[in-house]
Amino acid sequence: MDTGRKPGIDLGREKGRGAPRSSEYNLGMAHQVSAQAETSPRATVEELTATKRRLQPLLPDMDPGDLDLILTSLLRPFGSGRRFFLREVRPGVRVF
Amino acid sequence: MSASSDEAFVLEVLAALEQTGLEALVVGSVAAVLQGSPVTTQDLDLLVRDTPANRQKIEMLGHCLGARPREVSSLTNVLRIDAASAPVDLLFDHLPGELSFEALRSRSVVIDLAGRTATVASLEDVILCKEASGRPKDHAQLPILRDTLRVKKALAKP
Repeated sequence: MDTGRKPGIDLGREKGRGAPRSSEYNLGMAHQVSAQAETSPRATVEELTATKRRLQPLLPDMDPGDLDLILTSLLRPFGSGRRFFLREVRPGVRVF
Repeated sequence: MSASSDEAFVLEVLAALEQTGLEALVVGSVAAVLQGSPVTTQDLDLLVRDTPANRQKIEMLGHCLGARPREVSSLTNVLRIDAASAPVDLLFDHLPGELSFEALRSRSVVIDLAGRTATVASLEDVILCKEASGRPKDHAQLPILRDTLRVKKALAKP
């Protein structure tokens, strides 16, 4: 999918919603997001900074720290070592 | 870069879904994670279309993931597969918020993950479900999920 973005920094372009489904999963009709895992840390930081600068005027009420957190998460490609499951080490105690 | 055990586990579940042909959508917090939301979770939720064929495939899914599906409690029809990395919960036909399998699938997001295809509930639907669930742990995630959706919409603007 050519999004015009740098490799590995695909922030998700939607292709359409609510289209009738095919007999199988609606692979060709739903949203498509691709994640690649070949981006240098420097390129990611530059992309993050530029994207944050562009978005802040559009989201003036959003906490800058939250925006950083979300953009960092969105920019991070699948396969880059992200953890998201909490583990229960004993009843009522979960660790990340 | 190397994949974490969590990412590897998601790929293992996707491979098992592919192998069994189970009609299922990734829903819940993992669906949100796969769409870029910075949240954590305790399990991987799948919404399954409840048919006799899919019930059989659930047994195969359990075999692929190394554990037999079991009932979570007598008060619910949710099944759980206690996989090594995290529990996989299987929900049937609908989610809170009167979200049917068909409706969720028609709005689903298809994500390519390292060569595997994940069909996941849209972030909008994940939010709707968590709003309707009435559970504090779901409501606690709503602010960051809504903000993630706002950021994604802002990013989509030219």
